[in-house]
Amino acid sequence: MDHKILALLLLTPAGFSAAQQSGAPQQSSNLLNPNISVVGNIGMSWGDDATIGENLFSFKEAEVAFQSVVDPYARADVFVAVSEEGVELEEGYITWLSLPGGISAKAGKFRSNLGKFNRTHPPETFFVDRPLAGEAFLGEEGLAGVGASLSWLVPTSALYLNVDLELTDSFGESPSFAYEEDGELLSGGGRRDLGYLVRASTFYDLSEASNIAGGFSFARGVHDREGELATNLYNADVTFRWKNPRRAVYRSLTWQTELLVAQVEASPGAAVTSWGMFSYVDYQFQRRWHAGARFDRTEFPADNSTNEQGGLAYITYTPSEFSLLSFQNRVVRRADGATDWAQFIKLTFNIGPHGAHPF
Amino acid sequence: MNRTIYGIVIAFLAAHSSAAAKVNVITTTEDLASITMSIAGDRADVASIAKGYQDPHFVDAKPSYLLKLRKADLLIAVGLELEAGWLPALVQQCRNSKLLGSGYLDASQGCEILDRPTGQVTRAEGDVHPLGNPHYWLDPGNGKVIATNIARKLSEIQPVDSAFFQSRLAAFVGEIDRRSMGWQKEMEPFSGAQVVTYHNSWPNFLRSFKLQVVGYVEPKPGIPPSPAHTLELIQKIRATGVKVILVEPYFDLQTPNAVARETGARVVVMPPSVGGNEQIKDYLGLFDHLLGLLKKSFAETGYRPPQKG
Repeated sequence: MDHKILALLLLTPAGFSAAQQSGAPQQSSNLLNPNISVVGNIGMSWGDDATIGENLFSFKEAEVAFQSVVDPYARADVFVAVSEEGVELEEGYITWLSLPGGISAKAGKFRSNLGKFNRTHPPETFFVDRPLAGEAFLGEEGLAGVGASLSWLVPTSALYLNVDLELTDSFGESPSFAYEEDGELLSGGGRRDLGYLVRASTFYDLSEASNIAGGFSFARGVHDREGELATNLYNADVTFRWKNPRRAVYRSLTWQTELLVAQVEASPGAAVTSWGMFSYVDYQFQRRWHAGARFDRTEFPADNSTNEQGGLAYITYTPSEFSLLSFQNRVVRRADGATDWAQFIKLTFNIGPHGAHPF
Repeated sequence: MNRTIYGIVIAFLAAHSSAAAKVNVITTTEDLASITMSIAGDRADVASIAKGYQDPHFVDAKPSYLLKLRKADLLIAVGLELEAGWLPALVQQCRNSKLLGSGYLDASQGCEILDRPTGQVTRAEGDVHPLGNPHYWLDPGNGKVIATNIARKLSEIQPVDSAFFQSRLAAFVGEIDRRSMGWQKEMEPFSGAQVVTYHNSWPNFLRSFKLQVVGYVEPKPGIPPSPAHTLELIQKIRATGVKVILVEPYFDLQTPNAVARETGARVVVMPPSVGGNEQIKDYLGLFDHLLGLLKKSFAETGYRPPQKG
């Protein structure tokens, strides 16, 4: 009894309580359905930047999420991105929430735990795009892999400290772990060449209203066809947040910075080191209004002779928790010295059961 | 060999359980923490995640809360999706299998829940709670049910103290009954009095003390005030002669103050939870404080009871 009900609670609070309340207008067969939600991400873009595509309007994706508890030990989350280019499994994994020793485990396809930003799905970020360093080193879709991971909450009583280990197939089409052939990026190595990732992260409350989170991640894989040339990717992230709990819905501030360093072997033992970073501030100045800005600077995998720099500023209006409209303006100084301006409108909507607020 | 290992494990568990004389309880709100302390006395360590002055819908799922939850024997929640935005994320990450099983209590079980939608629910009605209004602790009658739920759960977790919990429950229920008679008597002169509230946080409270709500500052739950709705509200207040606008402490006072200026009504900041201000120390004190505020406001704004007959 308890197990069943509590299993339901985990991500189907609606199902959970309806189960106790016989008068609730629900068919019993629906109670065990997973939670289904859809996030729509619609964009408009214009300007002299050649990377933004030709059309004024684009339906970037509808992200369909199926989430539920599997059994008393595990839950599952599946995110499918439906776009004009097709249907793609964005993430799909099972999580065992509580193994002995403060460990949880995950298996399936998931976004890699490299830094903090990489885990965030595109509609849920503050931006219309990914930071330049993310695109250059991790690719448009970010770093992801199929495999398994362990996450250990270190049993310290005073400080939050978490260590993640991930073992995946080679990191797909991320530029740092891929080679180019006929203009296409192909995943480095063969079936024996895996992607390894370790992350340590911490969190500290500076006061009731402000806190700081930080992490260090390291990923290793190969980037050539034969799987002989390695890439080491280092990432450091720090996030400062401020929000007065007495006025939680009205004002908040987030400041996040990430640094990426890549060592890409050109020949065995001889690596090229290059780096990229981004830093942004989001300020919620009224209940429904956010404004923010991001600074980008990046080199490229195996190429530290050129770089791109950019800035993006935005203002976002949120009629409710479930939709937003954002106007964004971006400038990028490309490696060849050209300056590209682009303007965007990002519109997202969210239907389905009330999900967790992002933190 | 196997037998030796079993022996060691059992000895370890026995030593462990006898050492754990106190139940480690985490509640989502200070109201639940206060009721738990009344039942558990010195047999439990009790802490709340949200503070009484916070909007319990909007609490950040901070990793520091995971440290508290990791060691908890029992997690007590308000339920009815009040904590839907943050509690599931914490429970999933805290690596405490107890909280996925018998160490979880939804305090709403068996309570009288109001505003339960009967038909299709959509967010066209704002941020509705499909399972009913989650502010049910504001009815002292429900306080007794919550306390009973907590006593039952504590007894399950720590059977040796069952008699202790049950006797404290009886005392607590008796105290609520005794105080309730006083509260009802105090509020009798204001029976049927009308108020406006900011959010729909008070249906159980108003019903318990025979008050009526005629409108809300929010046009729909969770939707901030709009000019059109505010004008409508002003007209409604003028038409009904409402004197008191109740505002939860975590909402902005700008719109309520503007409405008050236009209508001559008074804005009263009413914390719906223990810890909502420094004076509200426990669950029974919450009602003392709220009813004191109301009586004072009604008296000072010249409330006259409706003529009988």
